[in-house]
Amino acid sequence: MTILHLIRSSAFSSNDFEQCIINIEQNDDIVLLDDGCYNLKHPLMAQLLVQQPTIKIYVINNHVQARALNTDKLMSNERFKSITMSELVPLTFSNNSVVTWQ
Amino acid sequence: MQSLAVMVTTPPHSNLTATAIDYIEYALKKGIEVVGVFFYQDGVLNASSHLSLPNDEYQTIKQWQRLNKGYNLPLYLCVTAAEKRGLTDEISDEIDDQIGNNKQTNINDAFILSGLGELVELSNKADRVVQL
Amino acid sequence: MTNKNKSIAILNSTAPFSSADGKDALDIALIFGSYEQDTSLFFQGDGVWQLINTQTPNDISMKDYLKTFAALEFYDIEHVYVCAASLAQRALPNDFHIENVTILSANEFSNELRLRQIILRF
Repeated sequence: MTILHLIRSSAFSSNDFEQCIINIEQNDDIVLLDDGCYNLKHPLMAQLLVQQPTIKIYVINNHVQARALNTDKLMSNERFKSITMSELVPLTFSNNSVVTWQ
Repeated sequence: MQSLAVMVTTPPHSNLTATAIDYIEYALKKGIEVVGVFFYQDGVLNASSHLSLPNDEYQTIKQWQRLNKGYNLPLYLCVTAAEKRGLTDEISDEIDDQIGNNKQTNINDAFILSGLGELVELSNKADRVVQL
Repeated sequence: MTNKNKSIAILNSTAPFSSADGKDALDIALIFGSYEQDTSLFFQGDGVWQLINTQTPNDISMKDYLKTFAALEFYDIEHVYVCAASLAQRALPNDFHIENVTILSANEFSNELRLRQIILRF
């Protein structure tokens, strides 16, 4: 059973992302939204990419854009996928459950 | 048809609530049946009829009203969380009581005052429950 | 109106008292339990602090909602899972907690969590 993890807070100020990573398994999906976008710049993200080599990390495009996180280089990494909020809707239903880390 | 229930815990002055509204509206536009939105914790403040956000800021409460009217989206708030935050439909003074006037409310009429049991009902109806 | 017979996980991540999250989470767990929904409590991170069985909230003018944990059985909440890694991080001894909890490794904890259809985290 797979989980969709919605990450809305920054690992620089809370341990939500760290706790999420403890619970993750290889077929889960992760979405970074709101301040969760800041995790693109956090060492835990690099750790996650190594620990879970098959997990795809979705990022809500306008949330990253608004925060001007200089992520062109990062986002060109095929592990990340920039999506619209609209695309988050089908993701909700393609996993068995959704948990929000905020 | 796929169905969704959403629990909102963030207040109207927070951008996090704009995210919730965005998500819910996209779900509605995609034909998902949003069986209801349940407001809990600070989320109940979205139901305030007296809350004023500066004109040049995102009008969170108007957006909820728009979704409620435009999509018949039911908006429920938890009465216990509401009362703790000063939201009530039982406002009256001594004179009101003496004359027998109806009690007043400071809850926006797009919202239904309910209890946690509503969350259980919504969860039973929906394929997915998302907490925002 | 179909009952989709879902199981619910209430994931506690917050310490008691300074935030109402612990009580708010428990209130939700109890309501699902009283509606006979399959409900389990999960404790991880700072949430594990809620399970210390010798706390005295009255000392800080706080209502003791923790004593409700003793009544979980009456609400048909049978499973209380605790993340071992969170305990180790906080140097909590094996016997610090209320009765009837199951301490799980991080892996086991994740496995249990994902069995549930609804996960609410506080």
